Amino acid sequence: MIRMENVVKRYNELIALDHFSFAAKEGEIIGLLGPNGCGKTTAINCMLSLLTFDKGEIEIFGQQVHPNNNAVKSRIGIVPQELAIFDKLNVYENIDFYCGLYVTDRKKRKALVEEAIEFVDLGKYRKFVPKKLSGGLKRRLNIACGIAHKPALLFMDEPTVAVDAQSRNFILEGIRKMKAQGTTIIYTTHYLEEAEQLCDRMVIMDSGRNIASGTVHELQNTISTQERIEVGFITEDQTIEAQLEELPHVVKVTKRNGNYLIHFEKQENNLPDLIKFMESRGMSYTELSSERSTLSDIFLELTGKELRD
Amino acid sequence: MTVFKSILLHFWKYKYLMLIFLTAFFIFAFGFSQNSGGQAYESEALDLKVIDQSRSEISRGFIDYLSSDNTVEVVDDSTDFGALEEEIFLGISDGIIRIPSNLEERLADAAPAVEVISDQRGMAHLQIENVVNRYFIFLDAEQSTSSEVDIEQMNALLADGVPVELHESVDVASQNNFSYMSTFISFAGYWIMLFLLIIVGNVMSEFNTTELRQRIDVSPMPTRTLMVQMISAQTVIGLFVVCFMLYGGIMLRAGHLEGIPLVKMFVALVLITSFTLSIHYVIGALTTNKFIINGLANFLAIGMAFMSGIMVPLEIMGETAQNIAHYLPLYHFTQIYAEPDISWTDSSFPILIVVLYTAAFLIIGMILENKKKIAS
Repeated sequence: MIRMENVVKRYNELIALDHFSFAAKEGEIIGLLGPNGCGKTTAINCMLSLLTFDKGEIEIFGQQVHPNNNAVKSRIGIVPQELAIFDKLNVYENIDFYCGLYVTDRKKRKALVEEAIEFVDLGKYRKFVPKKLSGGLKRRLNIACGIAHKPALLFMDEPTVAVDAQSRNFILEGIRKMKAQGTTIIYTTHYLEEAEQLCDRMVIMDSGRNIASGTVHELQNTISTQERIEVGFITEDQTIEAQLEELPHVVKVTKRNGNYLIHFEKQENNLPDLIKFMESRGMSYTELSSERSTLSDIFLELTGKELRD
Repeated sequence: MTVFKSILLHFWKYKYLMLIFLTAFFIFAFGFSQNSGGQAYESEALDLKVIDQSRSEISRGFIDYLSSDNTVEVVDDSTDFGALEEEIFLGISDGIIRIPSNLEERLADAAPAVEVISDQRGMAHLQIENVVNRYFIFLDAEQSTSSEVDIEQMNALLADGVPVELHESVDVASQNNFSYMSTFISFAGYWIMLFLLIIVGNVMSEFNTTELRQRIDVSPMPTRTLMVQMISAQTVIGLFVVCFMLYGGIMLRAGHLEGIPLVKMFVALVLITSFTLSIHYVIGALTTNKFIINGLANFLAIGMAFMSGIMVPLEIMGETAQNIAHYLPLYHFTQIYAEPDISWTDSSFPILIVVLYTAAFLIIGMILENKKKIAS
C-alpha cells in the first residue's frame, strides 16, 4: 500500500530524511516512532505531497505521489497533531466541511458525517463550537474531520497528545475499529506503551533514518538486552554488585529504588540461573521480578537517547 | 462548493460585527445627509470689518443694515489689509467687506457690489454672503420699482424680516445632489476598504492557518477549484456590501438623484472592492496573525483615506501631500466620479489606474504565495 524507497529530503544543509525507506501493507497499523526532529513529520508530509523530496521514490496504492494525483489523495485521510478545525464552525459544520472536500454528493456526505459523529461519540455536541468543547472532545472532533470520508489510508500524528485517560482509551478503541474495517493507519506517537498496544509493526526513526523496524518481538531480538531482573536483598553488601556481574550473560547491573537491576543478554534461562546462583552464594533476597525489554529500552539501545529527548 | 459555502457560513458567523459596521456607516452617512447642501443653518452675530470707500448713502445704509444684527467696525483705507486678513485666519473676525468707491456704477452694471473676504470653509462665509445678497437683491428690487429709494425705510423693512429667498436653479440642485452623493461614495469606499480588510481578513486568516490549509491541501480538491471558490465567496460578499451601501445611499437621497453618475459610482465601488481584496491577498500571503491583519487594515484604510482627500479635503493639504495623493488608488477611485457629467473617456484613466493597482497587488500576492510554497 505504501512504499517509500531511499527518500532524501534536505532543508539547505540539514538532512531531514536520509535515505529513508519503509513499507506498509493493507490493514496494518504502523507506528512511526522517534524523538522530536527525527523526521517523522517530514516523512509524512512527503507521503502526503505536502513537501517535495530531493531523491527516492514514494508510491501509495501503487501510484507515484504527486500534488495533482487526486485519485490517490481521495483515498487518504489525515489527523494532524495540531488541531485543524474551524473555531467559528460547530462540530457538524466542521466535519461536513472536511468531508465535503472529498465527497460532493450531499446525501452521501450527510450520512458519512453522521457516521463520523457517532464514531467519535460527539452526538450530544453537534451544535457546539470548538471553544465550548474540552481538550479531549476537540481531539475527537479533529479525528472525525480526518476519517469522515472513510479513507483507506489514514495518517495520525500524535492523536492522543494532551488527552485525558478516558478520551485516550476511546480514541485507541476507535483506531482498532478502523483497522478492523480494513483501514491502513500510519501512527506517530511519543507514547511507547500506546504503540506497543496498538501497532502491528513499528519503524524507529533517528536523524532522518529508519534505524529499525518490525514487530515488538522482532525489535526486542535486535538488541543485546532482552530481559531485566530486579532483585531486592535483605542486607546491603558492598560486594553484591560485583558478585552479580560474575553471572554469565549479564550485560550490566544498575541500581533502581534500592534494588539491583540486572540486564541480561538474549537467553532462555536467565531467571532460574539467577536463583540458583544466589542460593549457591547464600544471598537472601526479598523481592524478585523479571521484565522483558520494552520499546523504550529498544529505543534507548538503538539511538542512545530517550524517546522524549 | 464546499469552500465557497463554508466561507459564506463564516461571514454569517460575523453577522453582528458586519451589522455594527454597516449601522455605523449609515449613522455617519445620515449625519452627512442632514448637514449637506447648506440648506439650513442658524444665523449668529458676526464680527465684521467694513472698508467703506464709497461713503455714499447706499453704503451707509448698508453698514446700518449690517450693524443691526452684527458687530461692525468701519475701518479706514489706510488700515493694513494683511493684518485684517490675519484676524480672519486667527478667528478674531468673521470677514471683511470692502465697499468700492464706484458702488453705484457697479449696481447699475449689475456687477458684484461689494467684495467679501472670509474663510470659505466656515459657515460664517455662507451667512455673510446671504446677508450681503439679501441686501443688494432687495435694493435692486426697490430701484427697479421706484425711481428713488428710501434707504431708511428699506432697512426698516429688512429689519422686520421680509423674507428673501434665493431660489436654486436646477443646476445648483444637481450640483448639491452630486456633492452629497460624491462625499457619500467616497466615504463608502473608505468604509468598504476597512470592512473588507478586517472582516475578510479575519475570515480568510482562519482558512490560511498552516494546519487547516494542510488538511485542505491533502484533499483531492484541485488548487484552481479551491482558489475559484475562495475568490467567488469573497466577491459575493464584496458585491453584497457594494450594493447594500449604494442602495442605502440612493434610499437616503431618494428624490435627489438628478445629476448623479450612479453607474460610474457603482463601477468605482466595485473597483475599490477588487483592489481591497487584492491588498488582502498580499496581507494573507504575509501573515495569518489576526492582530497584524487588523492593524494593517486600519493603517492602510485610514492612511489612504486621509491622504486621498476622503477624510480631509485635498485643497487644504500641503502641496507634497497633494502630490502623494496622485499616487494612491483611493484618490483615483474618487476621480472616476469626480464630476456630475464626467464622461466614460474621462473616467477611463482613473479606472485603468485602479485596475493596474489591483493587478499589481495580485501579482505581488502570487509571488509571496509561491515563495512561501518554495520555502516549505
